[in-house]
Amino acid sequence: MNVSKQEMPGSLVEIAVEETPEFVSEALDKAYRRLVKRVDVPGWRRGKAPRHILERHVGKRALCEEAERYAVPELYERARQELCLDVVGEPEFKDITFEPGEPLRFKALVPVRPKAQPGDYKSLAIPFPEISVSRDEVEEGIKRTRESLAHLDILPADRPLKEGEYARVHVKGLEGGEVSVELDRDFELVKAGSEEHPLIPGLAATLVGMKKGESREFTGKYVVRATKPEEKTGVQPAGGGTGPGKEPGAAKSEGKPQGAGLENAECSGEAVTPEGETRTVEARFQVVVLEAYSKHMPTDEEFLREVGKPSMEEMEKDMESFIKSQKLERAWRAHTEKVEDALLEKGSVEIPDVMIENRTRTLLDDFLRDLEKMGVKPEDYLRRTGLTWETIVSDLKERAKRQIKLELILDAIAENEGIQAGEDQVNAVVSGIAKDAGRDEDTVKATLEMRGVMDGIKRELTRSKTLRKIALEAAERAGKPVPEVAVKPEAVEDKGAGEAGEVQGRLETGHAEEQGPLQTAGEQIGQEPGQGVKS
Amino acid sequence: MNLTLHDIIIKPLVTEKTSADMEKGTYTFEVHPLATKAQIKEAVETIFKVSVDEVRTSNLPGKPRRMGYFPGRTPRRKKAVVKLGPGQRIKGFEGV
Repeated sequence: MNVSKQEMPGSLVEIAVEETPEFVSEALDKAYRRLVKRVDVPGWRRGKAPRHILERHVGKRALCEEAERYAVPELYERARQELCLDVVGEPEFKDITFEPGEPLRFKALVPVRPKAQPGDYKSLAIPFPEISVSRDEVEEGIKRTRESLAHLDILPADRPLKEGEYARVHVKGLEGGEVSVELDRDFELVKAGSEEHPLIPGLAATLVGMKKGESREFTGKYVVRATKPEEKTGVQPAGGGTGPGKEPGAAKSEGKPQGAGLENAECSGEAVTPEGETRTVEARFQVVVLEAYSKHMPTDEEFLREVGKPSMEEMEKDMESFIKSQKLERAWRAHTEKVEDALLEKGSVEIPDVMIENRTRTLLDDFLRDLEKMGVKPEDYLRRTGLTWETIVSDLKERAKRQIKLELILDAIAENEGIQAGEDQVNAVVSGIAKDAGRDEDTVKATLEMRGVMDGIKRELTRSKTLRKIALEAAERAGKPVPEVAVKPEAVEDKGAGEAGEVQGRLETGHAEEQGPLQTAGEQIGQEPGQGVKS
Repeated sequence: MNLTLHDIIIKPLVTEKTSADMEKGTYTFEVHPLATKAQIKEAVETIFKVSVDEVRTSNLPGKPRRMGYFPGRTPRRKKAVVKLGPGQRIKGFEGV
């Protein structure tokens, strides 16, 4: 086989391949053997027709095309391996000459992974922010923990509710207001006081002073956006009747439209849209207190017992260190993002369109999968957010460009600096995948190697390692180095686990590779699509 | 009926079965439905320059077919299985 390549603009390579007539003859024989099993020739059982009969029946061209369909990609793959090309998309074949008795010739135009110019990354100087934890933050943290450990005590029947206490109530929508709300159900743990209930305005305030079993009527005020009479909204003036069981926001209607609806209602006095005119409508409700509760905050003793600390000083110390570690983690993330931005600004690369398209498709699939997990239909999401497919795809395309550019820059830096992921790091990822999939580690490794995913894992680990190195150096150069604890969180047990976790996360979303149909590592080893590799 | 040689032999029949027979010197043709064994023998001998030992014929009646409302039939056919003299072959038939 004769192979030659020519580099083209746009990170494309044109491969020219030539193979002997003997190869063509063999390819035709193979094509005949495949085709004869599929084609019904009159007078012959399937698979029994001799080649000349089949050729006469389907035509010589059809046989050649069948042979070509298999032979050309096979030769292309051999040529790709011979030239050691890092291909990132499907080849475009052209000028194919496939005739019996003649050499097979064709050209293939393929997009290859471009090499980025990382720019002057060695002069990056980005200070790592100072991390401090104030006394107030520690107290706030302890207060939140204490509140999470609080429990509710049932109040005596004759004790009225005070502000900040809770009640289980039954609320019913009544006639008589400007709008009426179809509502007749219980609500668990409504807080009495000034904090408005999200659905029923006025309920929280009404509860203050009520006792168990007591019933009161009150008026809720909804702020709604006034709409034009011809505009179709959930306009529901009072007086009519609809089916039972609707939540607030679905009001009864009768008579002429008023141009206001509870669909757009808010319980506050603020306008719904700055430009739209708003008005207030009233609805009548009846509330019955079914049970009243007071919140019991644990005493210092109870609190320390619950959290398993010997003293409040110890608790404060632990809380401070916890808040600090969280802040450091956030700061590290923000720092690496800044480094990424700087690298993107300094670096340059010409990305083939196919890479962007593939990555955009992957991101879109992830996005749709996330929506499905949340139980939201894509059309509902578009309606609620007011976005269009075009804007979403365009945003994802920008993200794809950013991701790819960063990856290519990191690859180039890794090559310059001789950075490579260690075997222990790769093994940490594989073992994580195996653990999550509940499979044997060696089997998982063999499967991943067979499917060619291991290269992706190594590449991702190398990128993480490179970014980490640059981020650390940039902070050091700026005179504000990264504290050791920020880079290695306490949970990290072995050297590679931090990076391994990141890579595993990226593999879940299928970002490790952009070649061909992307599968997550979990799917590669037999999990259900979308199940991911992390529990 | 006055038939020319080429009216008599319509086409060779090449199927899995007849191909196997060809190796034994027996060739199958579709022939004119009114052709006699003698006419077939003469036609094969003259056209293919071989000697014929035996001719077996069979008539294949047309099959009923329908074009919408209108009933019809496919044309009737006649098949002739011609056995050549020992060692004789019709050249070019292998690739037919």
